[in-house]
Amino acid sequence: MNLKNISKLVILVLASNLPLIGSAQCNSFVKSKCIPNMKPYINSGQTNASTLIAGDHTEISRTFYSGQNYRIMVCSQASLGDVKFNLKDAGNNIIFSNKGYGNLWDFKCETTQELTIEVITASSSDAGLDKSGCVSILIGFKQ
Amino acid sequence: MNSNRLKKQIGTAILISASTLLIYSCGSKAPSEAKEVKDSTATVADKGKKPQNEFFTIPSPIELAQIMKRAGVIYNKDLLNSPKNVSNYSSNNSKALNLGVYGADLSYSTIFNQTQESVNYLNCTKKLADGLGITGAFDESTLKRMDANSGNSDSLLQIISDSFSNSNDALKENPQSSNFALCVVGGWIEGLYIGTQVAKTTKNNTDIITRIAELKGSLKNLVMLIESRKDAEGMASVLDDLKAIQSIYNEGNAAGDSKPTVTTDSKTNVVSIGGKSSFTLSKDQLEKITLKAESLRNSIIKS
Repeated sequence: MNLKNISKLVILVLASNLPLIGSAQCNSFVKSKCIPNMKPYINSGQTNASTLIAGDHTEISRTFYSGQNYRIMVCSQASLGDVKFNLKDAGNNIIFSNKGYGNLWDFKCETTQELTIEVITASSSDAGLDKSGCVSILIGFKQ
Repeated sequence: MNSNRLKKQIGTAILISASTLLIYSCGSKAPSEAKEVKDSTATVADKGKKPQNEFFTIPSPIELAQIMKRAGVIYNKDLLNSPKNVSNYSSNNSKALNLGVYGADLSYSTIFNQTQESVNYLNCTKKLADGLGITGAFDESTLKRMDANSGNSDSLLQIISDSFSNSNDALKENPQSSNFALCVVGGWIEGLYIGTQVAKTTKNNTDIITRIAELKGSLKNLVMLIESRKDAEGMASVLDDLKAIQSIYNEGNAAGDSKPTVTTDSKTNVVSIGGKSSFTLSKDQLEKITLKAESLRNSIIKS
């Protein structure tokens, strides 16, 4: 087996095991690079983080309470490329998209709503087959 | 590259991958929370393409305490679990459930600026966390930071939130354990218990009842979390209890037919989500939820 083929083999092995070996690094990334950016909002205390690959689609549903101010942050490693997020109502209608807003969005909740945060990583044709990285959805609140 | 050589290389790759998988599954930590909850979550997925990963969240005890306070809940330390009970909890399940209960009580006492009570409840959470093998979440440095920030409630809430976050992360590291889920259940039940007890004794309780009605969505998430661990010891009865409360919520139109809208104030640039939202509970539903919450919470703190 020549050097070129060995390299291909190594890439194949690594790609197939990335979701498994990335969990610890993912939590470490979230703690050091994501959670500090939630201040002055109080983090909800639950870290939703996972290693995703290009083209993944992830959702989180939650009640947002009237009178509270919220920060939604979708924090991802640069290796994953563009990560989009949408906020959807109970009828699956998109009421907000982060295009043009960056990776975090602050808002005041005037009436209590049950909403879903949908996170979409760039598809493989856009980002390349070997792209994967840690993505975390953080929700902070303050009065 | 000829086809035989390619087959050989792919075979080698599969062998190495399988070996790595075997090593991982025998000696490493949990797959993420997302993957465990994935299969039991169908509400949103049924409406369109099924997501590859679904995460889980319910409001933290701090947030529940905040919204209850704003709704008119007053501080009554007699409603909270006595710190003296902390030494009664010997099994892992009772420690985890009551870590959640005391976490909620810590949040309530801090939201209402009851500094000494907060320290007492922090000591309770520390003792139970230690008993579950969690180190570093509620430790001496947490106590010192709380002491140094005793006059600043925002800082105190940040410190407690950090501790909850560390504690949850530590609890989730063991995939076979039900401790994380039980801790979340304990905190949620304590919040429901306090809210319903205060509603029972408060004359103008409309806002408090609305807050209790709004807990329906988080209960749904909680049930999904427990269902993903229903085979673990003690989880079946917890699931039955939560589903009993859920069935009371489902008797009426507690979720309402919400229609959110997003607006931006042109002067301040503040973005708001408003629109129609109707969360209600009938008197009968409230009474049943109050009784169920009381019974379940008292069984937890006596366990």
